[in-house]
Amino acid sequence: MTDPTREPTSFEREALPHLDTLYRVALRLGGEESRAQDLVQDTMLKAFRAWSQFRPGTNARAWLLTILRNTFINEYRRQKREPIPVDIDLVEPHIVRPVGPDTDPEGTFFSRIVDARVLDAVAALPDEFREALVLSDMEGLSYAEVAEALEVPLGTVKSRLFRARRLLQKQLYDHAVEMGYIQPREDR
Amino acid sequence: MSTEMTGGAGAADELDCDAALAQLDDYLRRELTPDLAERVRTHLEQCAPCFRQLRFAERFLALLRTPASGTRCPDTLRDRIADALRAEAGGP
Repeated sequence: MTDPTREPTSFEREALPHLDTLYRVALRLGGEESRAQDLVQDTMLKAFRAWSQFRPGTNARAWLLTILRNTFINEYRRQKREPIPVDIDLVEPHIVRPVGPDTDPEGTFFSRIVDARVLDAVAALPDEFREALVLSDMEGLSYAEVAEALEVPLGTVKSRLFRARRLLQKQLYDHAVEMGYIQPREDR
Repeated sequence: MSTEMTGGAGAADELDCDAALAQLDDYLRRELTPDLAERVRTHLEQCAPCFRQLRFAERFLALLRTPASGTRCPDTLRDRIADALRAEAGGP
């Protein structure tokens, strides 16, 4: 354990508070528990070594998440099965209402969907969508922070989020119909 | 878009339902510019179906936030990291 009488270093002050976030994001990116733990530890070591490059006063959380994500892509992802490439632009961007109050006036949809099912559905999203959604909607980062962490423009974050949410709603909706929680919508 | 204006005299900045619905999540996340947020709000005040959809979007976003609250970095991992950092710093 750390010596409690010692003053925390600036790295400890800035980086350690984000361990919960890093751990959850690692779980959502990589899936398996032990790999997620290794990924977080590698991330913290790299961040520690690169700490002189961190500009005080800027966003430590986004900076750490960038390191985590790059480490994941370069060293962890390729050990996994090759992901099925998805052409993001082919995912229908115009499904505005896959699920809504008109199909589920009682709100049963939400009361019956359990966290485990949400996590499964998130895990099934294409990588680009999943990482944006995890950072933004699950961890609560602002869109600007997500853009910084993923190193993409803000507009890209917005469109990925839009599609990720619709895909997720669709999946959860299909699941709810399949389980008989809600009645299928009479499609036009 | 101009053909689907809902109500009013079709002021240039009025949103139709599809345009408003497409912004609901960003609206709830407070990620819209003040001007656009105001236009969405104006639409929602006048459109009951879209307002119900807002409630729905709100619950969906809340559903996504729940799993995060329960999962924390395990203490064993915190200790491992502290050890690794100490070793890296050349400490005892």
